[in-house]
Amino acid sequence: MGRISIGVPGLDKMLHGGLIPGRIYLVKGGPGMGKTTLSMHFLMEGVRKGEGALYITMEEPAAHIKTDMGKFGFNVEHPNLKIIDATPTGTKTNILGDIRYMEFGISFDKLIAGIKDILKEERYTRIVIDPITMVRVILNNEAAYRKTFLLFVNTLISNDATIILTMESDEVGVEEYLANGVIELFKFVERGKVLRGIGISKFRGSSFDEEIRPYRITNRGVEVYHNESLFMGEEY
Amino acid sequence: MKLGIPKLDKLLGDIKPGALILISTVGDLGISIVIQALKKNSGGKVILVTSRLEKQLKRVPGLENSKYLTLGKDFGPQELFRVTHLMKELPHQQLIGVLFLQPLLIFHPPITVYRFLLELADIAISHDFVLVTIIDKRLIDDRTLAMFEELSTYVIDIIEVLEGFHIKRGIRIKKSPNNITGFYTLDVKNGNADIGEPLE
Repeated sequence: MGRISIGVPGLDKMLHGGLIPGRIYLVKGGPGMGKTTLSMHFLMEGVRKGEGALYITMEEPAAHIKTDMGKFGFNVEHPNLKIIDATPTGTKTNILGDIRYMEFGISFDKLIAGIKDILKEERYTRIVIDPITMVRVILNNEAAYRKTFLLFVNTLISNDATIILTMESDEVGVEEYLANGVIELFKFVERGKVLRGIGISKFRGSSFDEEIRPYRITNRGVEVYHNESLFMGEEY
Repeated sequence: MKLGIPKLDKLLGDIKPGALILISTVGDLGISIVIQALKKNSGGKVILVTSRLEKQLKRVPGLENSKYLTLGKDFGPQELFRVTHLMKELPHQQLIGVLFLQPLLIFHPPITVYRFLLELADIAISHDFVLVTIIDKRLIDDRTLAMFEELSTYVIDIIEVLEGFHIKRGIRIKKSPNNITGFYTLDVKNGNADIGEPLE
């Protein structure tokens, strides 16, 4: 089975070779843990290889994303990277063609239709929706959300793209069951200092490193220390 | 490899790459053994220290060219993984002095420090390092000390006995692939460890 790099060498090692393409993965973690940065590594790895990459931001305005990710050295202006701002900010109303932001609040189908249109126009092999949590907030109905999320997953899968969805760590939802893989970002605080850990809790079709490994967010983005251990006592 | 202290080298025998030498001691007694070994070693040497100790050691003649990995400045105590990561990137066949187990035992539970030392011991084997470390046995209980000793290739045991107003210090080889010994007298003069006659 072929593999694609997630763009972070240490995490590729933990995934025993990288992601299986054409599947959906979930990246879970609290605020500031590096979900967006990790997702951008994934997209830029595709860009580096000449693939089309699509990033849909549901929370942070695209301008902020570009500024923040640019600081890590990501070429966010690369023509192979398309960033769609699906946030309710400023005076912008149209986010996907003629689809307006507020319509998301009425129907998740609108988002799916919009993405479908984009995928018809251009080929994107890597897609990130950051965070998927926002859609749940907008729909505010668990049954409707599950139904539309399934539809959404099927739509994306049928386009052979590899998809990363991000969500907050304290949530367990339908996404976790439907995703083919789940990568979790953990934060441990001791004596006022933060230690970050990354773990893979699920990866269908592959073996994987089951230990939580340390990672850091540096000026080059996310660095995973796949050979190292989190040295913590038994009280953790 | 030899530590550079003739009497101790005779007691220990030849030290093979991959060995972990644990000096189980009281306070800083025994640190002079590590420093002497580092000074005498003509090959690559790396010292894992606290930033406070780094400042002191950098003034010691013979240690100027050592590489220092500093806990508390370059690494927070929560980032021990960075130490092991850097260790794995070092050239093989280095002498490594690990001089920060004491503060680690203050900051972390013993099991954390044990796991860290276990990782260092594994790196020593894969990279042909010789590790020398000291641990103040007053900071840990007997069970934990036994765990550390089990991990080590050699255990050098240092004791301090108060007889009236007179302090008597002893040193012995408690664990070794070669042979174990009884106690010998230990004196530290001008920063040098001097091992004398067997103690009765």
